[in-house]
Amino acid sequence: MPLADYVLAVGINRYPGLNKLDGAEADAQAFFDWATQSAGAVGQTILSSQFAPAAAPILEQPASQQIWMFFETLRAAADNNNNQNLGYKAGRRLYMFFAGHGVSPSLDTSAVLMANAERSAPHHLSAKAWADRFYENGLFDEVLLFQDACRETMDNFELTPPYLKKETTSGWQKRKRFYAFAAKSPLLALEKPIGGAVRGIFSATLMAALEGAARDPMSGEITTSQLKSYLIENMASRLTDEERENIDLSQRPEVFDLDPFVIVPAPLAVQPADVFPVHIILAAPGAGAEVIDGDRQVVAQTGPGIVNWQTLLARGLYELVVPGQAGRLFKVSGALDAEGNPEIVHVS
Amino acid sequence: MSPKHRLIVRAADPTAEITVRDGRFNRVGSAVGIYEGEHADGLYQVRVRTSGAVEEELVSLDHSQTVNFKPVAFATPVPLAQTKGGEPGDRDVVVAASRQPLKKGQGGGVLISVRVSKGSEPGRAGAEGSPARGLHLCDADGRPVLDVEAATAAQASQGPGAVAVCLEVDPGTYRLRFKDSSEETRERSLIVSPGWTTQCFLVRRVGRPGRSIDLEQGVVSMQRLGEVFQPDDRLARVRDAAIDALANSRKITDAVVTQLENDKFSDPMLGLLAAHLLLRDQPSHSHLSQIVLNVARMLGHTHPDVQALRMRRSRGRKLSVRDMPMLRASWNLIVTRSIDNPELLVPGSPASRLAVGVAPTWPWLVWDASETSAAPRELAKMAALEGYFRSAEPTQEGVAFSIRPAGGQGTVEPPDRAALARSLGVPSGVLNDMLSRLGRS
Repeated sequence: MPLADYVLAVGINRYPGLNKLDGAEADAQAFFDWATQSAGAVGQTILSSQFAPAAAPILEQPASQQIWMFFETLRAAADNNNNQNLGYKAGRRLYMFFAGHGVSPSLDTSAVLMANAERSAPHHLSAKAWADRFYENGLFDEVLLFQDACRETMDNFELTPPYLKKETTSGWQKRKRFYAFAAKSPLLALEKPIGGAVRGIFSATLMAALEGAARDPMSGEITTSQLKSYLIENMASRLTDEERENIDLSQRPEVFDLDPFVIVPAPLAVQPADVFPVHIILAAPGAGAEVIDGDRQVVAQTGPGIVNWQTLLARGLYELVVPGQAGRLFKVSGALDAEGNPEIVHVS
Repeated sequence: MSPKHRLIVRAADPTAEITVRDGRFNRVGSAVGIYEGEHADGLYQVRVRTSGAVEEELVSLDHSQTVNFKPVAFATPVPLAQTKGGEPGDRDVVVAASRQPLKKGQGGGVLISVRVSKGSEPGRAGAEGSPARGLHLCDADGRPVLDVEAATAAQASQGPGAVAVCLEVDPGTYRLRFKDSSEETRERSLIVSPGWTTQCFLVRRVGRPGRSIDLEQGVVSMQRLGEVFQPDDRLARVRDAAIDALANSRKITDAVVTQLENDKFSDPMLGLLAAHLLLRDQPSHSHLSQIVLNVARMLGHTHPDVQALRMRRSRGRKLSVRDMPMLRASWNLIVTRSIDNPELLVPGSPASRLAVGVAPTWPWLVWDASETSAAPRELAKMAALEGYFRSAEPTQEGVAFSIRPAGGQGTVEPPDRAALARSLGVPSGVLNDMLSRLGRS
């Protein structure tokens, strides 16, 4: 029997000791819903609204203890599987999603601040270090970490390392990791109204990708390569021009896909790929034009006399071919704009 | 079946990471420096990444072809040609300073440069005073040697650009200190070796309260004493990429080592960086010992970063460390070794006094130095340690968070002291003291 996939989705809006957030819980819930309903994982959400407001910031929940309790269920699962001679393995795949405030002097010390964090006492969970530990200790074959949080530096921050001791285990060659962070250190991750609710732009882009936008149009799979490409290409499209000018805001996520694997398999039933609007302006009305895809198949064409040509294309690379002119290469990344609408690709 | 064509991608930077994706964004190839591959006729996306900056080109591969990328313009505190950040005039300021060193000793040199990052508030540049405000060069014991703001006052009065100062000094350990308006003081090491100028390039961020100079982001390089700063130094770009690789887990180690070898091991800073990359990625690499030996020949065996690298192979030998190294990776080697060798840090030495203030920075070693900032740092370390142990306590819910081996049944193990020492950046003595105060010794 295959081992289970697990998901932990943490979203913290309420930070009495820091500025509150508005979209972290919705982001975590959306990821959890996807992981459990579409990807078949079991697990739990840990959201600040699940806890009553505390009398003092230091008592606010969720704190690290609530996360550790989930980790203990994983260790219990590993014990159980070990007792059944299935190896010391908690499950096949672990998804960890964190949305909240973050801090990160460096990649390896990236952490998410817990609800009881204050400037003077930045209580946190070292998400990256924990993900590494689950990977290193072989508790899962695949570990995926998504962190929609700022990567600021913070005074008085010192990383609390995972209490789970690092083990030397065999079989690491078969294990895989995929980590994606909303921001590089020391940039800020942005949340903003998207589709009627406040969402992190990284999370909104991630969810669009996982729900199908990052599928390979041909195979239907979402691979680590496809997801990385989609996140990097498209997160910035959710920003306004003014936001793009702000050098403190993250424009591109930081994504590590060292071990290629399929995150979401192709759907059983063939589904048409999502398509995105492309506006092509031809230099002059001529004998017509066509668009060829990356495999040089004609995917769109127009007749003579057209100058303004609007069409729809799946994510990918294309070449506009106009008789008598040099080909014009362009890409359709599947970007959604600041309002969540498909961004129009302009080609001329 | 469509024909195949050869695709060659040449990045101007030999350490640039090249990725090739097909027409549906699937990665079909990757390499560092030069990429060569056979691909089906079609469209491809080629990306080149150097020091965090990316450039891209779309390619119609209908015949074998070579795609050449110019140097990617990345952001760096070093005023190099073909990079981003600061003003073109910054290079002239540093070149001029390197031509006219101030005499404060002899045998070695220090160059300090501060550029201005105007960020989203370009109008404020210049209104915040000298870029070097709050910056001092101190000796190994912390006594001020030079007020960098005062030494560069004439340059700062010219406008809101970079300032730089070059000194001839006695070889040894120096501390670069930045004290901001909140009275917090941070420091890092500048080790000066005989015959070399140690250069430190910093950025002041306009409009940022508190730590307006990112001491931890400042780039250190070394140049032969008396040589003038070269804005088009090819190896400087390799150094910057190696620093990025060390800080952000980039896998370009082989390319860095190749560049070091091609350059006949002439750049000691690149040697230090390459050695740490090898230790991280390929610790049994046959060239590691040779690289460390070459760096030791250039910088001397007592250079703290060299000492740290030599510790990996000196079991049983009596070792002693007096001064803080420049790289955090070096410091991590020292604190790890201190677990088995508690006498490693000479009692009363600068390193033993400053260790408790080590900040969680990477790849450079930075510490909080004043009483007002070192005390909170120590408290933060204690809090992190407490958090580590709290996780091992039974909770109200009755769940025991125990430290135990995989597959163990609740066995409580002693903490991994080496991992704690590296995480907190403290040597054995400091760690033991903290554990003792927490009742965990």
